[in-house]
Amino acid sequence: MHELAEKKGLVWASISILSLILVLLIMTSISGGFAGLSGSLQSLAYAGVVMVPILIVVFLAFKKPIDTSKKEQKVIAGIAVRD
Amino acid sequence: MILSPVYPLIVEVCFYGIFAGALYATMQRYGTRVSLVLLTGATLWSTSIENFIVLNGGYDYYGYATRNFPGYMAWVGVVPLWIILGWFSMTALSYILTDVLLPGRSPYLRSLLAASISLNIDLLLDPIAVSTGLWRWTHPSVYVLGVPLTNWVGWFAIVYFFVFAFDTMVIRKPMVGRPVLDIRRVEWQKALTPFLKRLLLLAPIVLLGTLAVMMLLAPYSNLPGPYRNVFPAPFGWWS
Repeated sequence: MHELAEKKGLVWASISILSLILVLLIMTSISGGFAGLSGSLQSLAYAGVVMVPILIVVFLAFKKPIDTSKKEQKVIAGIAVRD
Repeated sequence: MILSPVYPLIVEVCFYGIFAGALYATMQRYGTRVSLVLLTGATLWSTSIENFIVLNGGYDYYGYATRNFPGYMAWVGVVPLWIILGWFSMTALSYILTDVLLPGRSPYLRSLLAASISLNIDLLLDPIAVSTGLWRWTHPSVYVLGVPLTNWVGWFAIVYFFVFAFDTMVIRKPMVGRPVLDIRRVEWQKALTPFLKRLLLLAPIVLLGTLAVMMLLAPYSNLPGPYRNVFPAPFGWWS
């Protein structure tokens, strides 16, 4: 029950972060370019590069519970074979 | 570039939506009580620090203000409400990701990852905000993409110490230093007081540290003044 709620928490956290990234990308495109960068295109390129680490973190966070359940499944399978 | 006066209102509403998502995510993962403790701590922490820096001439939120309308719908002192709730959202979301990726690890390491994730988001948010006038930096410093380096150092420190306090005083049992077995059964009154006490203890470190970095960078400022702020002397350091 708690595990399900925790997973739901992660799903909603990811949805919120991805929404935030989307809002930031839209804001970047209408900003007309950041100070020190020439034009919207360079600013969008900067935004794309900067958002890569956070996307990797979200991806890893999602991957982690799957790995754990795989390990659990292997352990359960091992027990079943031994029985 | 100042855009239409509707722009800051749309941003404000978007951030209220993101806040709702972040709060719901926190409630799903940690339960209502701990989420309220986190929300209370984050609100008090960010409201105090933000208002303190604005009143001392660090930056302001009046890029879209007119005689009849301050630019945003809701304010907490001299800081828009969406900034306070946005700070909670970014910190809570960073903490959830950290909790998934580094379960049971040292609070120093967890705080480091959470602060890095928040800083990562701010590396994009701040240049956007500056270029569209959502807020205006008004102190001498080394500016990169229109943002003073002080901001990023301060941002990292503010999130780091907040997460450290939350992780050590609420998520882990203060006496044994281990994660609590059932976070949903935490008594919020018992968790909130030590959490706020620790925040109160850490606040001077954050403020004095950020001030020291400000002073250190000021002589190397690459943005010529004058630094016009709506809160000039006696509270402004350099106006």
